Amino acid sequence: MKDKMKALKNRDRIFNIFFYIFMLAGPVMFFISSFKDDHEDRLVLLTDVYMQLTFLTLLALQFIRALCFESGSHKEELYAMNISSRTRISYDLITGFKALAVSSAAYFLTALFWIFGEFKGIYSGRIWPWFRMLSDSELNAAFFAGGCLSLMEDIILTALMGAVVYVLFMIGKEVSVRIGWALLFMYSISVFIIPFVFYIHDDLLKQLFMESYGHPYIMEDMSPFMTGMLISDDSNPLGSLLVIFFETAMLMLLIHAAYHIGSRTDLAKGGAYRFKNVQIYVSAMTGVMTWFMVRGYFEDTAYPDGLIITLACILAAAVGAGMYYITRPKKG
Amino acid sequence: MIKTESLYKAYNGENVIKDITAELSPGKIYGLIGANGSGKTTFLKCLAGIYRPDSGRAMLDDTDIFDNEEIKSRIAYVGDTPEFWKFYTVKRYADYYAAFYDSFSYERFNELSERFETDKKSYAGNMSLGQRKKLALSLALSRDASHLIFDEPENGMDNEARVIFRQLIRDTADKGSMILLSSHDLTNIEGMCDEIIFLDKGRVIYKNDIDSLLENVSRWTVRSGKLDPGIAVIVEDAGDISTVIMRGNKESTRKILEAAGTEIITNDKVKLIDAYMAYRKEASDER
Repeated sequence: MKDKMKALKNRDRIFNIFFYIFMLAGPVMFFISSFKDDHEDRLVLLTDVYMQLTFLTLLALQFIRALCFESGSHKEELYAMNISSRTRISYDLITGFKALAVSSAAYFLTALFWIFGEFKGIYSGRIWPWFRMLSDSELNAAFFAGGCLSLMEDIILTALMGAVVYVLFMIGKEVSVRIGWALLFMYSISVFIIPFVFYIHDDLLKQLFMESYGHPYIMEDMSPFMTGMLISDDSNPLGSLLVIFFETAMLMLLIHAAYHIGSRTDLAKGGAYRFKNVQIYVSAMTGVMTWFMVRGYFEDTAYPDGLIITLACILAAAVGAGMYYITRPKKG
Repeated sequence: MIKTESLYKAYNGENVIKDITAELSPGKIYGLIGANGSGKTTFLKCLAGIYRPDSGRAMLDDTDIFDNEEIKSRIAYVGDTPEFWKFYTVKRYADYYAAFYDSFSYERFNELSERFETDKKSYAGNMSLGQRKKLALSLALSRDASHLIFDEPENGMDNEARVIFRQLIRDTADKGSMILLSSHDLTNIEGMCDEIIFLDKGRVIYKNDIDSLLENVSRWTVRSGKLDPGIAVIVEDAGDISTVIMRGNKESTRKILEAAGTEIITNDKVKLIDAYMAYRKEASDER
């Protein structure tokens, strides 16, 4: 029997070139930024951005790959071929995990370059601010070793979080006739899962590491829901409530999808869900959330209220309509 | 052999395929005929392993087809409107299929591409429907699959390509493969197929060879004044002269018409469409 995994890899070979370019763009940007002036601020910012960027890039690229190769009638062609769902899922998982590992390793090696350079005095003064925050110790070997451990901890946690997020995305893609459902899952898990894991990381692990590094974890006393990307502050309680409702609803849908994954690998089911009009409700919720997000984003800016509200309405309508279009039921 | 046992498949809670039990033997060409919405495509996709049966089974050699790599490597399916990626050439598609199927033959593919006049350098996604059909058929027939399933294979193809296609499937069936194809063109299917399957509202209402089918249907031209519409399907109506179709051989249907006092003008040659309408009427009356 032919090697199906190799055949799928061959199918994606052009895409994979761009795939790895984008996955390695983060570490490259990180490395290049290090040489610029005011590098310390950039490095801190880029570190935080990269942690989210890595697996969001992975998800976005895998979504694009699915859209190119497996949407609509192409998915039917794929199902007609001699490829089982186990092979399809294995291929998706392996390519995703490999990309995540490569990207994270590149990030670690880049950071290690600067740590080693600082330690050896080659690039003095370029140490990251959070290194100094970890301890008031002198810049000795133990300090740098501690820094490496902290860095590795962040990378491993980022990679694990990315792997969990990625598995959820694969579940969404596998149970969906329309690729749009995978996009919806990706969107919802980036809102819910990411901050939740950050919350766990801070809350559960701080007791273990705080004594070692004295790092003031900034996410104390915040619930996992409130640290979402669509967070609204206390001045907008309705928005906060809607965020919580939406995220909870999507979590329930994800759990339901995972539980029923066996019965959902069937193109004739007409989409991820057979509940009547669920696409309308989800699209409406997405539109409403977009409205609050845009309002919140421009809240403290100098733009006139009328312009902000108009923009929010247009984007909300566009996002809601777009979400409905890509998740509408497939006709049998 | 492909078999189904009490096969059911539903959309939106409504059964599109209902309790289909059938066997499709190697070495034969089967024609699947049914009205729009009768379940033809759904049935074909269940046999191709694209859809999972809601209940019952679709099997090849007593093994379920759905999600089985080894079994599906022996089945080739061509849909009614095949789509291809715009960024893949015809040659690239051959490579793609060769990577998945042990039995794929480049020699065969090149030969079929020549016969169908397919340019191997052209981008598959930009071709017309007829050209895509030819490509899909070439890919399927290059695989040496033992079971081939085609949904409206001649739809969109030019006449010359249709002739080539019929020769190819006849040769393929003579070598021992099972071929199942659906079509709305009953005139052409009559000359192509060994056995006919009528599908009506998700159920098989007839499955057998064409000769047996046509022997049990009669076509009469009658004077319609005394015709009881419950005993026949009226296919043509010109004033007081009607052409009717009835289930039953010539003698038995003649007796029925005479007993009903209907004036018989002629007995006409039965066409496949006539048989289909007669069986549909019978199925409808039984419901």
